[in-house]
Amino acid sequence: MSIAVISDTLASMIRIATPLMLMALGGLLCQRAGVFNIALEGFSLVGAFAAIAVVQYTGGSVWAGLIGAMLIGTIYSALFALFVTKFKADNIIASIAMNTLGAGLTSYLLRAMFGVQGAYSPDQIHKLAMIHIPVIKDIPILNCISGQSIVTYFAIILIVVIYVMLFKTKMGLAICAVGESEVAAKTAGIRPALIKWQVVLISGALSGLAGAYLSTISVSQFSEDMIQGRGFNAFTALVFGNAHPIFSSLVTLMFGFADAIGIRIELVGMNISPSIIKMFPFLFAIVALAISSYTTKLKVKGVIGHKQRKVKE
Amino acid sequence: MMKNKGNNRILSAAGVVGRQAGLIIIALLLATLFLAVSGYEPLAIINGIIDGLTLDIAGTIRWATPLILAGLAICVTYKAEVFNLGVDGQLYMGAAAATAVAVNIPKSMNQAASLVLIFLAAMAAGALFAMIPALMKVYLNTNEVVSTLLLNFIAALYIEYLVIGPLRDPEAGTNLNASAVLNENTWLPRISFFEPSSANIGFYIAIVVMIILTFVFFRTAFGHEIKIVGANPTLAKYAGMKPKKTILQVMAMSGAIAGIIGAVEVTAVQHRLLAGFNPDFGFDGIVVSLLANNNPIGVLFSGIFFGALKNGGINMERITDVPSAVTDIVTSIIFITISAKFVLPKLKRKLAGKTPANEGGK
Repeated sequence: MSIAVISDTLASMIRIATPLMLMALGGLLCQRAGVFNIALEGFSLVGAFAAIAVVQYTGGSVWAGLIGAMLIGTIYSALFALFVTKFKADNIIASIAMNTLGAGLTSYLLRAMFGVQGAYSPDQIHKLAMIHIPVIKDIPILNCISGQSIVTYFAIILIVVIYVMLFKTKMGLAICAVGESEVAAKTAGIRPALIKWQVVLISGALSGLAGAYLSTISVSQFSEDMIQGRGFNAFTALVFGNAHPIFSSLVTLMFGFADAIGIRIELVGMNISPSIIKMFPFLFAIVALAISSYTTKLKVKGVIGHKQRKVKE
Repeated sequence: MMKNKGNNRILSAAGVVGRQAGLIIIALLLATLFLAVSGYEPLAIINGIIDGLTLDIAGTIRWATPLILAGLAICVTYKAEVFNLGVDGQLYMGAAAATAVAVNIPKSMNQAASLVLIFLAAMAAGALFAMIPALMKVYLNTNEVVSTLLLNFIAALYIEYLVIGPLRDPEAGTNLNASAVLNENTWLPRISFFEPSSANIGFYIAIVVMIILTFVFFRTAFGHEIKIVGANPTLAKYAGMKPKKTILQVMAMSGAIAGIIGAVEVTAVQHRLLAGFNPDFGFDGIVVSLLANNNPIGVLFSGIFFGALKNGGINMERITDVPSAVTDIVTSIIFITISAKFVLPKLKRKLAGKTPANEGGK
């Protein structure tokens, strides 16, 4: 395998991992605050649709699409936050409902707004230029980091921001405190509901951006089945990464790698059915989930194990 | 919250029904508003449901069959506080097994015998597929919510693989990914009264399953055990029960019921294995079960309601140009509003002296 192929595979790994990373970063904040959020799938589907709709109505501006998707993702997630905090809804059921509602809404609006079924491409779209980093773009293998979209760099910066926020600030402490014990957090003067609102809205904005990345940067259209379980994979990544921003992001890169390798196998022309190749990330996720639950079981008092018991209790 | 606690005790069965009806009305009103805002005929969805329950009862039965079965599959596990979100995956595997057996059955074989074979295979496949998340939960303490969701995608892709590869009909056009049409002796009969609709005797199967589950839940020790394991696994253990075994058993039951859905869809409705034949019956099954308060008898009625909704949406799209996706919105609204109500019994348990401290050490 030549160096060019390796760096090409790694570049595509980063591209594929970007939306997962965004979703996982939002999701892990929820996880830390004790909100079981598997609605990432639905949030990002709504974001993907919103981005294309905004692109259409602004005459092709992807920037507007990205920002619009974040806004609409936030608004959509507010519904989830409302049910989780105010109405004390069962997190799992509310999440699944947000996913099915997202699928229903986008499918409905696709018909109502654009009169099409299944998929829609905007009339025109001014794609964003990829950013080439000087120096790095000439180093073999490492140059996989160069030539990515602005969203990818945003995600990478976000890893650091969320790491600092979570472990070095009062806000991060409050988030973890709420997740550990709401009663204790309350006596310390923290308002659990407020914290939960914040983390859910952040995850809504980031998932919206992830969806927008898929619909306006990866491709230039919205299709009803475009998220394809990425939200669940992102959730698995944050579980496997112990809801730690850096580890979880690394896990999303592994997911991206599993996917990228699959695409390469297809290109090389090995005789494996494309449907089987599409299973790779999911098989990988199942194994990751098994490993992480096993290690959690050994540790008994891991961050995730604690949360899981709490939610299911 | 304290006020709710008091109310909760007074709530009789009639109260529950009234409350669920209230949720349905709210959801329908919101959907009507939605239609009006987007410039469609506002009453379309309500008319659709009314037609589904009167003029086109056949179509309603067709859709109610898988929905009732899916609701039953969910309510079995929910009683044990296990969340099987993998009904979709299990029904895919059931459909795959049903097809694999059906294509190998000779034309001369007796119809009843071949159907028994097909359904047994489908139930076994569904139950086996449900064993993956169940064993992971029991032995690795894996959260079944995530694992079942992931397995759904694997199963759907497996079906895609089958209908593009090994089971593909050589005579199918390039656009159609499906198995060959099955021999008539493997078809599950349709209800002749409702011809030409595809309402089939799967509906009777669903009723039989419902009766069996009702009996198991309310009249056997096993049913009691399921409830205790769901309510308090530690207590169940002290009482000499085996919560792990119970979890495996309910997951197997749930998977087997899901497998029946797959077999019914293949042998009675499509008569072949079709990629993407399943419009998320599994997720709808959660709402069906929740609306029925996880009671098997209630599932029958809520399944018929959602069947009418689904059928109404499809008819509506055919006659007017209102998108049938509006029914998904109605379902989701019911879904999310019902989740809010759901916390009451759990909250009560928490108030009954459970502190977060002993929760962590469990």
